[in-house]
Formats: sequence, C-alpha cells, structure tokens
Amino acid sequence: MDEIRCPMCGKLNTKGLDICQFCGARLTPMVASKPIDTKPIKAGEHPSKQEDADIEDGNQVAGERVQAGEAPTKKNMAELEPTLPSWLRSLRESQESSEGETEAEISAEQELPFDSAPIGDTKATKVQTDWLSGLEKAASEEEEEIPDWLARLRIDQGDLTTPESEPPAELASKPSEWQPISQGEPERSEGLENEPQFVPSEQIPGSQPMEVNTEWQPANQPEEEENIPAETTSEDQPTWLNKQEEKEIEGKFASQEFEESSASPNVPDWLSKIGSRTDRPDEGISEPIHEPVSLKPEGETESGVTPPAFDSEPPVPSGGSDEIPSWLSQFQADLSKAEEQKAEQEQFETAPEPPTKKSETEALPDWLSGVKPSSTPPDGTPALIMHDEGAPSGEQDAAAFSMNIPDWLSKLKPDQEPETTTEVESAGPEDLEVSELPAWIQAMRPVESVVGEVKAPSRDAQVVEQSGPLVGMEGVLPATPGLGQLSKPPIYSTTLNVTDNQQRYAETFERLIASETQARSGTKEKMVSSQLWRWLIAVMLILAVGLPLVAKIQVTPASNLQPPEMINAFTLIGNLPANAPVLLVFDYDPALSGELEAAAAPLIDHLLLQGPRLTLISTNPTGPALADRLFQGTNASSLVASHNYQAGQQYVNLGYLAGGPSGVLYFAISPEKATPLTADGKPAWQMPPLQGIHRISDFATIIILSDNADDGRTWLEQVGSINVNTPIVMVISAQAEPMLLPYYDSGQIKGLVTGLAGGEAYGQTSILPDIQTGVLQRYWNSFSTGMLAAEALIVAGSLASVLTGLRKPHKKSSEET
Amino acid sequence: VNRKRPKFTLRSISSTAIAIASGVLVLAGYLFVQNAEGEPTLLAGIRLTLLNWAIILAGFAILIGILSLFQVHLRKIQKKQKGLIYSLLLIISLVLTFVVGLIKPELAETIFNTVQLPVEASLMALLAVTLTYASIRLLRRRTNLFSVIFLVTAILILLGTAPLPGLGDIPGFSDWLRPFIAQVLAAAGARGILLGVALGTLTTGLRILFGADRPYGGK
Repeated sequence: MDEIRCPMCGKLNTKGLDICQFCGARLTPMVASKPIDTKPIKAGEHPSKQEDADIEDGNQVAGERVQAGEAPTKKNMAELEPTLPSWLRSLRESQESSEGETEAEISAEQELPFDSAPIGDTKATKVQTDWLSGLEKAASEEEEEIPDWLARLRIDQGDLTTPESEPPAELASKPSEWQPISQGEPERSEGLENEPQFVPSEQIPGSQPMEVNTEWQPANQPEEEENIPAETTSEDQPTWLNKQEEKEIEGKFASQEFEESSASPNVPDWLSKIGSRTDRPDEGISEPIHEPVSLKPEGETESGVTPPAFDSEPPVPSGGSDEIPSWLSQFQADLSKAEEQKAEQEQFETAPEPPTKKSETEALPDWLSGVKPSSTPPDGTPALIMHDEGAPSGEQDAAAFSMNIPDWLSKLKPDQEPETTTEVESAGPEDLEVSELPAWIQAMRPVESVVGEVKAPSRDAQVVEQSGPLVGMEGVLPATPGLGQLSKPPIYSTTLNVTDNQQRYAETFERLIASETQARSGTKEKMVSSQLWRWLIAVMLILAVGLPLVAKIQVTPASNLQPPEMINAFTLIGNLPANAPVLLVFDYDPALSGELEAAAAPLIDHLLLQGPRLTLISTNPTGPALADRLFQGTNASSLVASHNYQAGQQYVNLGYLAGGPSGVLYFAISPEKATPLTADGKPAWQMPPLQGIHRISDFATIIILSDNADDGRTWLEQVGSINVNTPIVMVISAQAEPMLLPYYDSGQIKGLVTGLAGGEAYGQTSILPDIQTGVLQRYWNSFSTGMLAAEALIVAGSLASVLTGLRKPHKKSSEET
Repeated sequence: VNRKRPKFTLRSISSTAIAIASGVLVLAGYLFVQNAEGEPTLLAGIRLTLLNWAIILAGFAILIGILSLFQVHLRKIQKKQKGLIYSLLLIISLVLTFVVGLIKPELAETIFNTVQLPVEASLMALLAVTLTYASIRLLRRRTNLFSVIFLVTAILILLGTAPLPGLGDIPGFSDWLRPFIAQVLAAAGARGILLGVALGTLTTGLRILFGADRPYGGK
C-alpha cells in the first residue's frame, strides 16, 4: 500500500507523510513503543533482555531513561509548531508573554523526573502533570525541609492527581507505562487533596501542553473526545483540537459536561463509541495492555474502603456520582485505596534518609545500580516491598532471591496480567498474612521454605533452553530443580542370600571336596578285607564244587523227586515211534551249556534209544556248534555220544536260523524255504532225516533246549500260531523255570525238564544203566556240595553282617560318651 | 540357513506306507492262510515272502555287526586308545577264527569247544561267587524286611533245589516248599509279566500299523 489512512478523518494520505494533509492529524505515532515491549513472547521465542529499570520506570518507550535526580531532557517540538491551529499558536504567544512570571515554575517542571515523551495514558497525565507539577512545585516550596527526592516524588504524584475526569481506560490501555502508573496512582490520590488549590488555573498549563500534546495527540485522540463539549465542537476544526481546546479551558470541570458531549449528534459514531469504552487499546501506539497495579486497589475497593480524598473533592467525582459509569466509580475507589496506601507509605518512608540513599546506590554493584534508582525513587524502598506483599507466592519467592528475576520474566508481566489478576483475586487471606511480614523478616526467611513453596510449572509454562545442546527446545528439561523425587539410591546387601537347602548342599559339597584331599588309610583296609572275603568265598566254593569232581566221591544220594512235568516229558519221549522225525532246537549259550547238557543228556539219551530222525536247528549263532558238540563230543555227555549218531544219516544240522521270531515263524510255515541248507552247506531237505518233512507239523515232536525264557517263548508262540499239534517238550535252565512254567500249565508245553535237578530226576526215572557214573552224577555231587557251601556262606555272612550292624551303633555311642 | 524340516517328507511317507502295508499283509496272512481247496492264499504267499526278506535282513545284520565290531576295534588300535591290547586280541581272534573256519572247519569247532565255551562257562561260574558274596553283604548294606525276605527265599530255593550231601532231600523243602515258591509265587509274578508283555506287543503292533509309531524313521 502506498497510502496511509488517517486515523482521525479516515481519508487516504500519501505514504511517507507524518501529518494528514486533510485534517492535520499525525499519521504515525509520535513515539512508537519498542517492539520487544509490546510484542508478546510466543512459545519458542527467545526473550530479549531488557533492563529492569526500564520496565519499572515506565519510560522505556521513550528510549531514554531518566535517573533519579536527573531532569528530563526537553524535546524539541518546534517542528510540530506549524501543525498547531492558529488559535492555539496565539494562545501560546499570549502565554509567552507571561513566561517570565512563571519561569520559576517552568524550571521546576523541567526537573521533573518524567520522561518528556510518554505514551498512552501518561501523555494524558503529562498534559496535566506539566502545569500541575508547576503548582505542586510552588506548593512544595512552602513546605519546610522536604528532601529533594521526596519533593520530586510528590511533584510526580501531583501530576497524577489532576485527571479525575480522565478515564482509567487510558491508564490501562498503555502497554509500557503500567509500572510508573502503578507507582503514581497513590501519588495521584495525594495530589487530589491539593487539587482545589491549583486546578482552576488555566494559564499555567498553557505554557507546557504544546510539547506534550504534540506527543500524544494522534494516539490519544479518541479518549480525549470524551471531554469535548458538544457546543464547543466546531466543524472546521479537528475533533481532537476541539477536545484539547475544551480541556485546556475547562480543565477538570469538563467531566461534568461529558454526558452532553457524548450525546452530541455531531460527534461521529466511532468517536462516541470510544467514549463509552473503558479499556479500548490505543490504536496507533501499541497493543492493549492492562494496568496491573490498578488491580490491587480495585480489589481493595471492593472491600468497602472509601477513599476520603473523594469526599473532600467537590467538583468532579462527587458531583456526578450518580452519572459516573461503573468503570469510573471503580477507578475512584482505586484512587481512594491508593491514597490510603500512600499515607501508610509516607509513615514508613520516614526511616530512609535521602542523603545516604545516593551513597547506597553507589555501593551497589553495577547491575543493581541500574535497577535500584529506577525502582526506589518514586516510592522508596520499603514502599516497593509493601507493593509486593500482596503478590502471589511466586513473586514472594522471587523477592526472597532479591532481584534475581530475569529481565525477560519481568517483561512477561504485562502479557500475563490477566492471569495475575485472577490469582490476586483468588488469593485471599493467605496473601494477606504474608503481606503483614516486614521486609527484614522476609529477608530472614529460610531459603528452603521459599523453595518449598515453588510450585511445579504447569505443562503450559514450558521453558525454552537457552544454552547447551538443547538450545531452542522447549519443555525438554523441567523448570524445577530435580527431575522428580530425589532419594538416596537403594543400598543392596553384599551378603549372599542362601536358603537352608542351598547351605546344606554347599556343606555337603565342601565335605566331598575335603574328603578328596584326605588320606584313605581306612578305606584301603576295608578294600583289603573285602577282597580277602571275596577270595575266601571263591576258594570255599571252588573247593566245594571241585573236590567231588576231582575225588569222584559220592556224597549226595540220588534224588527221589519226580516232578510231573518231567514225567510228562518222559512219557512223551517214551511214546515216540521209531524213526520218528524229531525237531531238536538248541537255543542256549555256551555259558550255560554245562547245565543244559547235563539236564538234556538223559532225555536225549532216552530219545535216541527210540531211534528218531533228528533235525537240529538253532536261533543262536553258537547253537549249531553246541549241537555238534552234544552229539559228537564225548566230553559233553557220554550218554548221547555213545549212540554214535552220524550227521546226515540220523540227524541233520540245519545250522543257524536268523530273524528271531520272524525266522521261527517262517521256519514253522515253510521249513524248506527257511533253511534250505545244512550247517555244512549241503542241501538239507534231500537228506534222509528230512525225508517227508515239508512243514513243521510233520515232526513227531519238538524238543527245545533253552536257557532263556524269551527264546523258549518265541518258539512256543510262533509254532503255536500255526496250530500245530506237534507236542513240544522243553529242557530249560533253572533260571527260566518261573517264566516258562505258565506255558506248561496252559498246555502249550507237554513236558518240561528243569535244570540239573530235573535232568537228574529224568535219569532216575529212565533207570539208565550208566546214570550213576555219568557226567550228570558228577555234576550232581558237585552241585550239591556247592549249593551247601553257598547256603552256609550266605547264612554265616548274613548273620555276621547283622551282628556288625548291631555293633556299630554301640561303638559310636561309646565313642561319644 | 536354518530351515525347519518339513513334518512330512517323501522318505517318511514312503517308509510309513511300507511298514503299514507289510504289517497288514503279514497280519492278513495269519487270517487267510489257505483257501477253500486247502491251497495257500496269495496273502500267505506274500507273508511268506516278507518273512523271508526279514530273515535275510536279520542274517545280513549279523554280518554287518561283525564288520562294525571289527572296524571299531581297528580304529581303537589305530588311535592307540586305552584297551589297545584287548582290541588287538579281539581282531586277531576274529580274523584267525574266520580264516580257520574257511580253511578247516573242524579246527574251528575245536576252537569253540576249547576257548569260547570254557570262557563263557567260567564267567557264569564267577556269577555264582558274586551272587554269594552279594547275599552275604546284603544285610550289611541294607538291613530291612525285603532284604531278609530275599535272603530267606534264596536259601529256601537252594535247600530245595539240591539235596544236602550225605543227607539227601530235606523233607518239606524239595517236595513242597521249593515247588511252591517256584511254581506258584514266582509263576504268578511271571504270568503278570507275560500278560503285560503280550499287551504291550499288541499295542505296539497296532500303533505301528496305524502309523502312530514310526521307529523306522520319521517323526
């Protein structure tokens, strides 16, 4: 846009002009507030540092600070002179004529600590402060022995007392002057007391207002419209100028005509609306900022305290109390409260001495020197503390840390003003209690108590990191010290927690390890004794078995027992026809060949007496050799060997039948296919003993010699599954008797000879002639003596063991005693 | 790459099918042995063939076992492991017996009668001594009721099995007590064992027929 719209007349002007070419109003604000002052700090932004003195002073907008005791620099406003209307210039000229008379007063005004270029509401106050301060100065001269700083302070306060008719919205609408105003409000109430003495004067303000008006006119024009009477408003003059003229003429009493001016039909609508507003922001200057300090008197006013200053003030407030709007009555209440507070401060300010104040300022550090003067001169140091007493706990903590509030945080105050307002209103009695503490007691408060009151920042109040690797990140680290509840780290015991069982196991393990390192003298003795006993037992058994064999001494008579299974076997063998095919199965190991040969010799001898055709087969690899040994060897049994059976003639050795049960089944189903060859490799089924034999049922009987119950059971099961009627007779070892005896009881075994005793009984039954001189008799004697020796050893040893076991507890008990 | 083996492979499926088919055919051969004319059925012929194969495979397994035994002990000799002398003795005996059996079979029978049979018989005799010593030590090691019962039973069987030298049979022991213990008490337990074995065999056969157990391979 190349054009600028005039805020007063609304017409467009060429860009670059400072003054409207139509109405003469200033297009750009005379004083622009610092962006950093008015611009709210947004999330993630880095707040710029600003001097605390600027914030508290309220003059930061002007750019120049006026220190305590310094006179404000007078600004050259001559360039704005042409913009003034003629009547105003004439009025100025008339004032210059009387300048000599008021020179002393003007000089006093120039010493005022106020900045020459205030904005917002202060420009309005300055209109009156200039000429009122002159009166104040004149009045102060009458007082005796008042310090300079107090005089300036009172002068400042007097400046603020005049505008009763000035709407408080102006005070609240200025963003950067909230602190000076807060300090000045009580002073204003003080000034009100003296107001009747100097307010009616119209000549006095005429000397200064032009400087001031040129500064605040464009921005503050809407608010000033309220004070312009309707009849004085001229069409050929700008509205603001009418207002200013009326204000200068009527002064404070213009408020009585406020209603008339607001009801004037000649006033534009927007201007009349402005007059009805209370907190309208100033458009040309800055963003609206509420006045923080004015809130506190407001709260106190609600408590019903009525300021006496207004009671004594006849013209403005009391006269129109019924017609004054609510915001104005509120403001009056604020002023009364401020007046009371000012009275208290004055009582308290008697303690500080002005001469020593400067020395104190010099003793302060540099960073504090910039803060102290700006904060103390208007109200004094104790007064500042009193102001903070009503603040929330957080502010109290900040006060406890004495000026450690960072600049950016103090700068945030205007933006957070509404929140502060709510906190103040809701604080209630707690804050009142705290405010009763004097400053020196607050300084003595322990830091822990202050820190303890620090509330954890809300999630909204995140802190932007300003240093380190987290620069620019928000809310990464908590604002409060510590990341949570800090506590001592848990102490873990270094002792090992061991259960009872684990302890016992450990002790056992230790004993075992310890025993490994100990000498075993005692154990050797035990081993020697045990080996000795073993040798002794072996010698006794060898002697018991060997002596009858060697000496051929008949020590055991023949047994008279005739087991029924043996009798059945004997009967079955005895009933075999001549030349009957008999299948003889050798399923025993060489280890038990002595027992089996001795047990089977009588039966086979009896069998051979019948002249059968024998077919020998074995499911044990050593069976064929044992079979040849039985029939051909003389050592096995003289009874069998004496029959002189020839292989291939009377018997056929089919050798080893592989496959276990499957082989037995296959042999039972088809003997020819199962064992086509003999053990010598000759065709078996072409030999005479196997003539007419095609299946297992063709055998007249099956005699099984077995020392193993499983082997005997295999033959019984597989052959019996073919439903063979061929009788089965078994000669078994004594150890297989319990397992094979059930088959005899079931009828699957027709005859059974068990062990050496059964063979000896079979021999006694057959009454063979050489039975007494055969191997069976020799075995029988050795067997009998060996059994007796074994029995004796077991009994004797068992008794000895029992006695030894009984002695050990006695020995232990005796050793213990 | 560790890949999961599939649950069913061609090998496992084929082996399972062969096993089930063989079992079913052999079982059917038991039931259908011959036809109305008394001639053997096809199932009987198949069963017979399968049984013949089983016998051949079992015989060949013995040969493989002998070769494996030879290889193991030969490796021990090559590696000079502990018991080297025994492995060497075994291999020498094996080779010698094999050679003697091929060259002169009669000599092999002599070796069997003079070496193998006495050795095995001697080992069995040592068992008698060991059992006697164990019986003596039994009450010293474990003195309880069952140990006493065990020893008393053993002594009674021994007394009843053989007559005492010079005295002969002991009345009551040989003719009654020993047969009662061996043929009643022991046989009763043996029958229970046999019944259990029979039921286990039947169950195992059925599980193999249904493919639940595959001891020949596969899971």
